[in-house]
Parts: sequence; C-alpha cells; structure tokens
Amino acid sequence: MNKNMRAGFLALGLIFAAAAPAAAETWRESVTGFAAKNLQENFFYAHSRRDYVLAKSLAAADHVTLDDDVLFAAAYLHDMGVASAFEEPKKDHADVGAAKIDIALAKTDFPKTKLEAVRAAIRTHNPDRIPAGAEARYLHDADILDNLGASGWAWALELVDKKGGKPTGAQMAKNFTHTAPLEKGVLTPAGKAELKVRVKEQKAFLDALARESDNFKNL
Amino acid sequence: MKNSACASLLLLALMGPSAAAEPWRDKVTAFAAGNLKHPAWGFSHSQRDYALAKSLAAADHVTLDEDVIFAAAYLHDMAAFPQWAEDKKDHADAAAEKIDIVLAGTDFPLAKMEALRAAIRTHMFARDPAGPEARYLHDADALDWLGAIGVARLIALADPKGGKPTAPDMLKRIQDNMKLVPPRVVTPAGKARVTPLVAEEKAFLNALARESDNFKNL
Repeated sequence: MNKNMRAGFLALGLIFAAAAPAAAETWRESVTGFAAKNLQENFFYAHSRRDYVLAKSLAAADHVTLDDDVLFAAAYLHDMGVASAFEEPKKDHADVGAAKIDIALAKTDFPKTKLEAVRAAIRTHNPDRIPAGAEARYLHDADILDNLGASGWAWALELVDKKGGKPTGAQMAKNFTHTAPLEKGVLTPAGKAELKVRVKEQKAFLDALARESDNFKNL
Repeated sequence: MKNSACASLLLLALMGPSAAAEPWRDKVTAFAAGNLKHPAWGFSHSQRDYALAKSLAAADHVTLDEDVIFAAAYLHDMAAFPQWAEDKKDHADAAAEKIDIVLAGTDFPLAKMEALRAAIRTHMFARDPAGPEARYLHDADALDWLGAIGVARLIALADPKGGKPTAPDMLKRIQDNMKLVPPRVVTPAGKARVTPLVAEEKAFLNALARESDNFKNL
C-alpha cells in the first residue's frame, strides 16, 4: 500500500468514525441523561435503574422475553410524573408520566411504534393497577418489590427528614411493618418468589431495629 | 391554723435548699427534645444511649450514678448542632464545656459536674473512657453506630435532592464503622453485643448488594 492509499484509507476511516457518533444522541443516552438530571430528587433515578434490572431478572427467571426498548424507557421514566418539574397535583403520577414521556423521547430515535407500549407500562406500574403485556407486568412487579426488602427499607430511610421533622424514622419503620397491601399486587411467578425473600429480609431488619429502639419508640 | 402551719413546714421540707432551682431532669429532657433534632444524633439517639448504657451496666452488674448517666446521655451530642458547635473543637470537648448552658440554674448536683463532663468528653468510640458512667456511655454510643440502628441512622443522612452525602457515601460510612467500632468497645456486656450487631449489618448489606447491582444502583 503506497502513501497515498494509506492516507485515503485513513481519511475514509476518519469519516466513518466521525459519522456514527455525529448522528443524533441515541434515545437510551438521552433517556438516561434526562433521568439523571431530572429524577434525582427522592432517589427516583436510582429506583428506576433498580426497577429495570429487576424486571429483566424476573422475566428471565420466568423465561419470558421482554422488549428491551419498552422496558428500558418505561423503567427510567415511570416516575417522572411524581418529580416536581412534571407532577400534576390532581392526577395520579402514573398517568402524568405516561402522558409526558414525549418530553424525554420526542426528539430521539426511540421507535415510535413502541410508544404506546411504554405509556401502558408506565400507566399500570402502580401496585393497585392491572398491567397487561409482558413489559407492563414485569415493571409493575419490579416496582412493588423495590419498595420492599433491603432496597425498600434503604429507600424509606433515605427519605427521613434530616431536621427531625416528618417523616421520622419511627414513622417509616411503622409504615414498613404494614406492607401487605403492596405485597398483594405482585403477579408474576418470579415476582412472587422474590417477594418471599424480601418479606423475610425486611422482617429481620425490623425485628432487629425494634430491639435496638425500644420497639421503635426511640427512633 | 395548726394544719396550715404543718402544711407549710412540709412544703418547705420538700422543697429543701434548692427550692428556687428548676428540676434538672425536666430541663435536660425538654432541652434535648426541643433542640436536638436529627435523624442520627438527635433526641432519639440520646434516649437509646441512655437505655443501652443502663442495660449494659446491669448485665455487667455495675452500678451507675443515675444523675451522671442521664445528663451525659442526653447532652453528649449537643455541640454537634450549629448553635453550640465550635469550628476548631471536637463536638465532645465543646459539649463538655457547654453543658452549663443547660444545667445552670437547675438542681443538678454540682459535685457530679466533672464526672458528667468526663463522660461527655470521652463518649466517642475513638476515645478512652474512665469511670463506669463514661465507659458505659462510650459503649452505648459505639454500639448505636452498629446493627440495624447504625444502618438506619446513617442511611437517613443521604441527601434526597441528589447532593452530598449520597447513599453510596453513607454506605461507606456503615462499612467503615463495621471495621473501626468493634475493637473500641470496652465493657464485657458491650463486647458481647458486637457480633450480633455486625451480623445484622452484614445481612442487610448482602441483601442490599443483591438488590442494587452490588450497590451501583443506589
């Protein structure tokens, strides 16, 4: 290969290398950036990431294939309706989120044909709603389960008021002893198996905490 | 007349020499409840330290001076709050100096003030306490950094607005305490409680690691 040919290949390589990243930011990067920027409050971004991982893991355990585009977008955006920038006080946050996902997705390369599936999964992620479709069912169960066990207890503790106001640690502990309504919402086989593990975990944490705080009176 | 004279005498006898002084326990409790509001080192932490110190001492058949342990438990962290903190002084030393703000004008026994200051000064696990009240307060305070309660206190400090400290920052504090605190516990009853408390923390951290992609999603 002579010098000119090498320069030609090098130039072509540079053009190709520049072409791919020069295209619009991919929707996953855009959604991740959006969630990292707008959903940090009350630890929703971390919760969203856990929901995504857990939903995939539950589906895999049940040998169910999920559309990863739908699940990723739904998991990362499902609580945007409760963030202060997007909430609407008179509407349920699940409905608000489903209606507002275009803010995060409209100018991206997210497949338009999958938007309604994302909206549906977000709309039914609440424990008392009935999800339809695989992505909706596994997001729904992951979302419930993330409110239980070690992750649920850690999240509850993170929200304790830092200046001694409400919610207090004692209130969070008492709430956490009444999770039966949440537990009833779990629908999938793998979700139900994971539920048993998390309920056992949280009982152990709460029993220990009760011992160490005069039955939550000194929290 | 006779009855009313007897009643007056009885009242005087009951009031005794400190008739004008405020009951110190009421004042200390009200001060701590009203001013020491914090999820990790507030009023409830003082209540736990008091109860645990007494329980540990009882397990070791050690008698504590109730006045000293009560006042020390309820006031030991007062200088961790901005109103009483001093920039260049550890909060334990600052609190030991400032307890008069709360106890002056009360009927707290003056003869016990130095034992109280000493217990407050050495309450942190890195320090070396002397005397029973100081030793049991020190261990109660150390053990309150461990177990389910240690986890709860520290995670509650994570900033919900996405600032510092983050949840992973607090996780590191929990892990650090699991290493640093146990060797500093000095009493027999305190030492007996370390292993189960650390086991509780390990169980929690193992579960949390499993549920958060090894802490990455916190």
